Amino acid sequence: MKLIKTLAFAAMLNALPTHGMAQSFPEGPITWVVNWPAGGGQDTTSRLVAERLSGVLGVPIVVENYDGAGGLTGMRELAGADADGYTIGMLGSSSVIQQYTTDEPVMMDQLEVLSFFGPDPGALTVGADTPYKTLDEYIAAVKEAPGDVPNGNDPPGGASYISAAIMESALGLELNKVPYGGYAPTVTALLGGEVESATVPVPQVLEHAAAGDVRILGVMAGSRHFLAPEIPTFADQGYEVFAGDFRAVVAPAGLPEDVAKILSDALVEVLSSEEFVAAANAAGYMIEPLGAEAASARISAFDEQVYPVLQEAGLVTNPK
Amino acid sequence: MIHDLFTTILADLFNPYSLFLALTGVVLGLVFGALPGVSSTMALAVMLPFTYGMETPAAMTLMLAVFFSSVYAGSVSAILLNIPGTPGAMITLLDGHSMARKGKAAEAMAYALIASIFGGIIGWVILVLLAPVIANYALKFGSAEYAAVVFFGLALVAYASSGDTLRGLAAGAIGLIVGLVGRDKITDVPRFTFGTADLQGGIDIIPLAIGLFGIAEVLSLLTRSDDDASQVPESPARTWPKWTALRQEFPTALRGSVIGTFVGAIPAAGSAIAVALAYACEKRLSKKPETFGTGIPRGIVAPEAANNACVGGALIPMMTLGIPGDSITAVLIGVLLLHGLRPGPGLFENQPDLIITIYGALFVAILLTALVAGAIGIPVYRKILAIPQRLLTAGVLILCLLGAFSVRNAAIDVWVAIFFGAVGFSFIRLNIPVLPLAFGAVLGPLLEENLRRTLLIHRDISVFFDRPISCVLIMVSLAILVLPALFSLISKLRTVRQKTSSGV
Amino acid sequence: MSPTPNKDQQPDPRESLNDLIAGGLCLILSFGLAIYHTAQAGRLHEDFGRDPGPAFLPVILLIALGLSGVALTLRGGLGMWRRRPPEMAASLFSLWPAAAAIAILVTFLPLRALFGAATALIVIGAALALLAGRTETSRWPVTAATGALVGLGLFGVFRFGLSVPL
Repeated sequence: MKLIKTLAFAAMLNALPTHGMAQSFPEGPITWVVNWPAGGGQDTTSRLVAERLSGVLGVPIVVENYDGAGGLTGMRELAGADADGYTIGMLGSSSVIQQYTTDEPVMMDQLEVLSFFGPDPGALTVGADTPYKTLDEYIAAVKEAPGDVPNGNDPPGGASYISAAIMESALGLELNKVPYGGYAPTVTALLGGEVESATVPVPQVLEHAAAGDVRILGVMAGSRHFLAPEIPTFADQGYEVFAGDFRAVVAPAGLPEDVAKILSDALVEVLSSEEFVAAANAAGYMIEPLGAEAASARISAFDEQVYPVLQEAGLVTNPK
Repeated sequence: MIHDLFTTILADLFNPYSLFLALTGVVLGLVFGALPGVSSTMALAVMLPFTYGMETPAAMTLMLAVFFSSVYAGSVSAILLNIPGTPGAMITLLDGHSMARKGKAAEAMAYALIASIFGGIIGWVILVLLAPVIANYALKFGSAEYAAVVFFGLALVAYASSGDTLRGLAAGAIGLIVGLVGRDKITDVPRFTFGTADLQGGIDIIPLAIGLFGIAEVLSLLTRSDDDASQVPESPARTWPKWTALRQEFPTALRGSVIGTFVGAIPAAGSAIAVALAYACEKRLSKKPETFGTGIPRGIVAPEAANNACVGGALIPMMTLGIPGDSITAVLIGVLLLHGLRPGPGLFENQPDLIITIYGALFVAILLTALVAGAIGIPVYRKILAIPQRLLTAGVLILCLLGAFSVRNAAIDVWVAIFFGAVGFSFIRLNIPVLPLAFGAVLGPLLEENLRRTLLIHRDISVFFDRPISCVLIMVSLAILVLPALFSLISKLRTVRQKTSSGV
Repeated sequence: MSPTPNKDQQPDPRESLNDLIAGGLCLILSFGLAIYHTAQAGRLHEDFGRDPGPAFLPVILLIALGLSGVALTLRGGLGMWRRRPPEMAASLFSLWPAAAAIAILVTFLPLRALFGAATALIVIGAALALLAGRTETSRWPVTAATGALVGLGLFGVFRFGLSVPL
């Protein structure tokens, strides 16, 4: 371990003066900004990629966690870094949403998309003690008592809150959206029966569903989740609801074109490798390796889908 | 078959490689944890990249060793330098640093170590024997109960902190307001951020505590040295307390450990509540409550036992439900994920060997911490006080800056530490107690979040009295807040009556 | 932590002055924050249905702070009126080392932005050592050099031992 540190330091010293020359990029360690604390989903996925990207690029990749302000602190750090390719990071759906809901946000045009990592589709999960056996029953119950069924989710602007809001708007429902600080407390509240349903992504509830503590009523994606192919999607049951988180790798805007290409290609190479996909799938993450352009298109599509929902929910303080 | 499993796991744990990893982890934890601002979470995050290439049991052995030893080492900077590295050490410094100022730093650290090991073992035993039972009870702990336990904690802090009541009230209100800064947990609306992006993440408690206790202490030392430079030299006297003295602390350590384990098992409750409960409980039970805060061993034993028992407690929701109870166990779950293991209620049923490896590794970590800290740690730590005063001052203040920065890698936290250093210094000069401020800032946000969430779910404040746990906690808290005032009123009336009757 | 001013005896005039200062500060703080809080635009003062809303607790706390400010001011004023406090100017001057230390700490982030964290910590380490060692007998270049070394050493621990992006 000491050796790695020493090497990283030596490499860094050597690399400092020549950042401008992109032909030989990269020449020194790359910083990977994670805008959530160590151990979370964003951190785990980042480390899964960073470890292997380091092998492809041949330089150390140092993961740095910037916690705070619902991920905004890290995004600000990333957007404010030099656009030389030596600082990259992971972005989630909440960073797209925060553009419109936060003071002093980081806008997407301050960032350059390098690759898509994959979607993390939302799901509707109910506690085993609740009377809802099917999605139809749940929807009927919520329609009968608008605003009364407590649903566990992030604070407004977080991914699972938006999943709930998208579901509400698509199906004409009104839930009692109860915010928790992250997926772990949300799942705890669902298990303890404090909330009747939750809209967290599939991997968060899969093991509890297998143990019979919760029931997943539907997945909010175009296709079934690879870890739970027996669970139908919303669309399978006749409801057009597509929601959830996603992850993409980004850099500060204004990257030299060749540097962006080197990084983007290397990322797609890592994300497409069988060994990586196996490791990520084992940890519960869905992989969809897309290059810079396709990834940008996906993010724009999400942006267009989510903006009206935010407006409807009265969350927009920074209009488009 | 179980016997076979057990022997293979014993062989796994006590092979030279595992022991070497555990020893490395313990040593690193003792170094990192003793640095102010370097929390256990951060120590684990630093170690995370080294676990990529390891087998899962080896990775968990290393991480648990860092985890436990860094939690103990948090007391070191609290005792020696008055800097709480973690919220869990905020209580330890009251008596710990007072004891160090009397020249008994090594003895204070020894009490902290013994209490930590004791707490660690009790927490471990409860984890191994009762984890599923406690996990079920912890799940019953909803927002209402949570709000009630935080309210209980605030009442106990109000009760336990000494000093003028009116000033304590003002300090507590300021602390609660400091806790409001940043984006509201329920609606995501910014409050008291003054239009800056930096304050949106709120004021982190560790930089605040570093300033309020650490920097303020050095500042008052700097001004003191002009008139009376009378710092008591570290006495070469005994490090290890006598058995008879130690035996008296046994009930305290036991109560602290049980409180720590149970509070630690409640997801997201955290060690700050546990240590406050343990300390206040001891002060309440003590025949001489006025000695707390003057440097008595009991004031170290109670919070340290609770703080380290939290380790076992925090592992309970992780082991039984696969849910991280706090930011530290979140990193441990991250290790499992990186090794392709999805934690959940099934993981540990399907992999009993992993569960036993984790239990075993934690136990080894506790034993090694006792050995290493006792034999090498304390003698080395006490050398810190032998550093010439001018260098110690410079070093401690720089440590405060760096420690504050490294909590979130944020420049704002450095400003927060310096600002609250000045605030803490002014409080000392004005004779205002600082403890209510610190605990207001820790507990205030938890109280508000859970109170409002309870209202969102249940509509009505009466739910707090409908649910047995919260009802009892609120009643006891009210009793704690009201009874002392009532008693003093009664005794005053009595003296008045005696005076009048004797006058007649 | 701090000795309670005994209510049965005549209050210490210095404690009365402390009350007055603390009370004044509480009042200023509560009024200032109250103005900022009520003037804040955006969603803060919206109706959140069952939730009392993000503006609810701040109001209660600001009132509590204001009230304790009033109480402290009254208690301090009353005590001062009974007995005049001693001259304070001299004791205020004795606080200069603390003020100097804060002034040195404040330079850390600006110096770091200009010259990097290592240089900033070397300068600050030297300055703090000189400040703390002003009454000691050792020669000042030695003190400054060892202080600088402390700064550099701690930089190394955090930057390379803990990979903190300083």
